[in-house]
Amino acid sequence: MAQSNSNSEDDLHLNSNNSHDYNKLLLDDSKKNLDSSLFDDSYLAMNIRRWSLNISNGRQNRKLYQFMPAKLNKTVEDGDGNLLSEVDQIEQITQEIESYDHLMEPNYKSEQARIETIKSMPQNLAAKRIIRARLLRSINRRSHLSNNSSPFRNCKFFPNLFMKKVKTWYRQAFKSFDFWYGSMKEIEGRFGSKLGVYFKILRYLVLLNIFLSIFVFSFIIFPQILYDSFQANNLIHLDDNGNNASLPSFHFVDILTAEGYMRSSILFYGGYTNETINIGNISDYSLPYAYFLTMTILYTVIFIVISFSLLRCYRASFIEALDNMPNLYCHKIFCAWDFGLQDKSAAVLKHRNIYRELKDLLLTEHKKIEDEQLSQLTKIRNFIIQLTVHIIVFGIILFIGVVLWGLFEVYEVNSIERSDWKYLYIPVVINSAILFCSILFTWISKAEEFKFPRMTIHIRLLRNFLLEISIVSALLVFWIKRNNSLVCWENVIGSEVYRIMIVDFFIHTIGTCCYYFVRYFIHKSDPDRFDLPEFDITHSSLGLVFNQFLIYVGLPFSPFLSVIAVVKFILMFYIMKLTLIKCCKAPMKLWKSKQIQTFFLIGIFTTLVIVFVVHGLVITKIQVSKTCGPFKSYENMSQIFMEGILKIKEGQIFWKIFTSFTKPAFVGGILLTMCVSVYYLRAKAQAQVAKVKLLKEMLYLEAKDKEFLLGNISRLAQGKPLSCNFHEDEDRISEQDNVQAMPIDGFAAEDWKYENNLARNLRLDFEHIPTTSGYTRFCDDEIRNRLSRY
Amino acid sequence: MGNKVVTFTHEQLDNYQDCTFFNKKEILKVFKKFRNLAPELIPLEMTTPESVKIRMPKDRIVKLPELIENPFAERVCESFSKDGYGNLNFEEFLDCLSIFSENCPRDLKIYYAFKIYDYDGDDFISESDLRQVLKDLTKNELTNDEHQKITEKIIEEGDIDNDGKLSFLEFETVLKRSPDFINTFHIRI
Repeated sequence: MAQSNSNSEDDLHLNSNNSHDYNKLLLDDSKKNLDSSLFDDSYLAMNIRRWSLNISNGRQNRKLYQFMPAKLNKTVEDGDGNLLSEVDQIEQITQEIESYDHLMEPNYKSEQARIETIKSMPQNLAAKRIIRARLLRSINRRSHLSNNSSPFRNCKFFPNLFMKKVKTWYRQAFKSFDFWYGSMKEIEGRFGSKLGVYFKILRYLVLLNIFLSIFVFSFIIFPQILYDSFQANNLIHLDDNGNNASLPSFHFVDILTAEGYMRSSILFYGGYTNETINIGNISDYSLPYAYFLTMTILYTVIFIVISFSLLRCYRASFIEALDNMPNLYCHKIFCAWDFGLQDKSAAVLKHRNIYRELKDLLLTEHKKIEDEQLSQLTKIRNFIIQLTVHIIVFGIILFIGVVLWGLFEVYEVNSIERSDWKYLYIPVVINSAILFCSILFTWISKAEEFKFPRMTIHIRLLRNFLLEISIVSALLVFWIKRNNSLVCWENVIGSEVYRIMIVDFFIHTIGTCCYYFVRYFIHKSDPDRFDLPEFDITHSSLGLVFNQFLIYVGLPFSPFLSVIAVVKFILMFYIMKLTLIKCCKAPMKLWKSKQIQTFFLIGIFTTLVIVFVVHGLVITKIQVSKTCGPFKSYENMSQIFMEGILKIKEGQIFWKIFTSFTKPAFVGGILLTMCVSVYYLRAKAQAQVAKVKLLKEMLYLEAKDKEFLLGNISRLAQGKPLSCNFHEDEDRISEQDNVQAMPIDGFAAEDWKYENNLARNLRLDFEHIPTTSGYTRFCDDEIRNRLSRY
Repeated sequence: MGNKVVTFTHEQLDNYQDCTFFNKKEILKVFKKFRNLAPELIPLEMTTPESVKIRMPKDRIVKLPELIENPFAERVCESFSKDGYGNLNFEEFLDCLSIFSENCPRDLKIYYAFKIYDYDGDDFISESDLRQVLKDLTKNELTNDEHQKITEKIIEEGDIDNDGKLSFLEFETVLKRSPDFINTFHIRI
């Protein structure tokens, strides 16, 4: 594939010669089918003009090519406005493209632009091929004529070329390698693309963690393994206190509790040396530097990547799509059918779903009008209920936090390495608390009634999320506070996180699995009374976010965690898939797949930010334990960076400059600047909104004008007297009752039937539209005057 | 892949890659699917100009596993076909699946969605078109009255210039507001 691009330019002659006969045949074929040609669409012609305009702006915006389809050249029409024949259309389009210089240069960039243009045209494949061949021929002709074919003409595009090739290679490599492609297809085919989103997220997480673990393994774990094996002869085993002790024996329970033997292994922070590894006199490899740098760089990279994904997702789901869409029915009909469904039973289910949703919509039509007239009393009652529920929920979260704190104190891990099941108590409590509370919150929220049903889901997610954050922060704060009294506190945090993850696997994944299976068997025993369980996406997505949160928190303290996470997610994928296929049915009500993705990204992003801040504090402020880990000889972790890498000692000028960055004044100044810029951008956005509103009103008035004048023209043509009504229904009524039409100001507020769809689509507020042309009463003379002007 | 039979020349694959949203591997996958529908009609070698123009009859195409459960399968075939009956040759088939792929920009999808939903081909989605759409979607389970109500509501929501039917621009405006459209209008090959 790499050579194809260069080949296409070198062998232009060859190409065009070969394709010439080919294209001729194609043309002949298309000539025969003129009658049923795809090109006989008048709206194509209309939009063709927009396309050419967009191309001319193409130099600024490459992205405009993406807008295409229906933007084709006005020259596709001949003088009468009829569409040209297919052959001539191709000719015209080619000429149009040829008139744009930036598309016709013989270099790489314009080739890409050309390809993008051709791809986004709504012509069929045969036409595109002809156009492409013709363009290539004319470019070739031009470049031969102009004779400035230097071999270095493509040099300036080398970086672009390289990036493009990397991107295409990457996409091909990962598409062909497309992880779990078969499973995804099966799931989407049977349950629709919305459930597929959950598995897509899972797959994304697996890839993310594989990425993490590759780096961590190669830079941190692997050297440590080498070092250990080379030191096997004089292996000194130190326990947490720094005293020599014998290696504890290995018990099975250690795998679950990560104590005992595992405590001092490479699983945790404590197992890494602070020495510079020197194997075979190749070179020095300083493990502490590697540890610090790998962790920091990895976190920064992930942060950047996730912020960009979040931005893209946010823009797509919130800004481009208005939240409370007025176009319910259109959306229901045109976007209802999931084209990816392949399974017969799923299709039947989907049909029934659509049917039921339409029926529901029709029923709630009445209810909507009633709801808007809720009495004051009901509103106050709802408000009070919501407030109480919020308070209860907060209370529960606080309560759990306090209980956890107490438990931590009771079961405080001391430095004796023993293998005991007691270590598992806390993680079991944590995970069951999360599970129990999530059920509790769902149950409680049934009492509340929100205006929009989507709010219930959002609030439920938020509550569970808060719970998880508070639990993990309790854990972190407790152990970080103990950094003085305990040796090797990092190990403890790492081991706690590890235990929570393992127990979570058992409780959540396997527990949920068992729950679904039990309900499935109940359903089988009595199919009429009990229904198949529904796959709860919210609950599962929350679990994913929680897991990823744990990984972020624990990674600096336990590098192996990423590998464990990969294994865990892979297992989760297969278990969930099995459960889904065997015993679940698709959920009836689903929120949009884009929103699931957005929620997930927001969750990951927030947790990442929190972890960033916390770890930042840990790195700079908290004292490292003196007896274990790679940073044994430093005060705190950032010292490595300062002294070791940048070779700056305290007291020097650069040190002073660096530390001044963290002074409150500076930080305050930065925050202030950010606030000011946010304010500026917000003001700009609001100005745009106002401008859009003004333009919408103008558009509306123009449409009203057109309607009014057209109506009057037709009345003139029919010989009726001219009217000053603005809607034909009013004409009918006024003719019936012989009553003059009312002035328009505020009329639509009473009677929605007269309300113009345009105004509703534009979300205009009738009372505020100024009464200008078209809205005042006319007498016959004035109407005639106006009409004579046109 | 090591196939001794060359299905397409390099130049053909390049062409296809530049004009659709697939890469070479996917194009070959699509060809395999196409051929599996009727192995006796389609030769293994597609390098001759005639072989590209062989048309697959519509009733075979709707048996494609990706389309078999789709109520709009026939409309899809008819929208991409040039002979008016819904029979597709390989290039049209490739085009069709390329539109449904992930990389296709939204505007192009909206364009072809309009074509699909426009049953009578008059460049407007009128009430009769909508009634057909509803019938296909709900497998004839709604009553006539409900059909009427729903079509009225749709026209009411989408129609801007008050002509009682949806033109392409109005359709585009409506679909631009739904973020879900791209996800549902997607066939994984």
